[in-house]
Amino acid sequence: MEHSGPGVTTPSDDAPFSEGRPDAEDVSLAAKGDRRAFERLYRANVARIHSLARRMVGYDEAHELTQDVFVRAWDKLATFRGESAFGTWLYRLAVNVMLARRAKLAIQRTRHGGNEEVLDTVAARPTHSDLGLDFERAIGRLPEGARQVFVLHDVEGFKHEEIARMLGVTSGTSKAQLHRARMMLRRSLQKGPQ
Amino acid sequence: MTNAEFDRWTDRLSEYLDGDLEPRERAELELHLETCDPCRDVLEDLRGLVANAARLEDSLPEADLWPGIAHRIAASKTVPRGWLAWFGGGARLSISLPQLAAVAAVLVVVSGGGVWFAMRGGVLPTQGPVANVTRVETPGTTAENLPVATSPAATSEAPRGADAQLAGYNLTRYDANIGELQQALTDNRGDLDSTTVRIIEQNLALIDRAIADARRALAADPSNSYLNAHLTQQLQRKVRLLQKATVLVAEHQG
Repeated sequence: MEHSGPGVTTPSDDAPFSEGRPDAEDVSLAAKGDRRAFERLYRANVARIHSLARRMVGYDEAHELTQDVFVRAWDKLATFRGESAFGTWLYRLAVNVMLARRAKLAIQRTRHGGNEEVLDTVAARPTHSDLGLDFERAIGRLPEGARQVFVLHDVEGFKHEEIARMLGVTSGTSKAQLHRARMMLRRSLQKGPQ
Repeated sequence: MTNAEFDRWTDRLSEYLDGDLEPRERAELELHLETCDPCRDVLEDLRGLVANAARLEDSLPEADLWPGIAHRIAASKTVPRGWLAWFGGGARLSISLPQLAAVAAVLVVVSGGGVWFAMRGGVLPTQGPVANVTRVETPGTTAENLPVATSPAATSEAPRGADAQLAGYNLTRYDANIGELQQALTDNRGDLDSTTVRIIEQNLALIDRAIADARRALAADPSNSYLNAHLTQQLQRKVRLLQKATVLVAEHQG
């Protein structure tokens, strides 16, 4: 994974386009401006991107952020050369967009004295009740820093060193936030759905 | 075992689980686990939690987001490869309608008098990216059909005059629509209960602060595409909130 600035990963764009992937034709068509092909790419990837957004920034921001990711992908599609699968490239782009949004939200909260706990509670919009959704809801209630480290490490599989670079923290902070998140989730899930 | 001792070990359980402990610490912790039921319980819970996290399934958003995306990317035009190749490109270039108009204007200037201008040592007046906003002709006051801000990354160099006029036009239009909605809300706020009014006003105050911040920042850096897009977003947010509030009023009025 490449890094173009403090903590922000960027999709690689220096490898030749690779044919033979299932979505290669749609990517090629979309890069030439075919919106129907891009819609197919959207439909194939939206669940993953929206789920990542929901977990990273909360339900209320997830729709807008998902749209931002796909609009950005459309704008940058010409730079995609097929080094990885389109889904992987899109996913990295999504992480970039979400980290940038995280920075923006952090600035807004600092300026406006936003209450992190309240915002996090609002972000976890209740839906149905089963184990997976209770778990998702509990993740949504975590404080922002702990939630993002938990999602990146335990859900998305990033290493602490990568997370530290992305979030602009130390590896030790990432580990501490992860443990904090896990212990909070443990308590929350033991209490049961709220 | 004291609480401090319990905490000392439980604080290391995540690292133990992730294989991040040094061999000596790992051996010490394993020794402790043999005799400490509470720590073993915590470890098992954490192990299950990590396994569940890895198994979380992705799910589709409740609403189809494609129409909104299609609307936003429709504001971009595709320039054929052959045309771009002249500039050494060859890939799709995303360009908004106002940018396209601005580029066309520049081309007219260049073809008509640019050579003469360049020979005199002049420099065409250009500056950095400006808000990538697009006028939508649909009548009515909805957030969706107001100017749409696209990604700052999608902007490109454009002449100062054309974009500044467009941005100014769109912001004026937002202000007018917000004014109408706000007036409607003021006239009918008595139909809402005081708690609802308070929540709406608190949210409006937050958005207004963000708008004021963005306007102040833009005054210092008018060509900043991020700030332009941010301001447009905040204005859209305000329109959406006011729309919701007016719908609430209508519902209360029966």
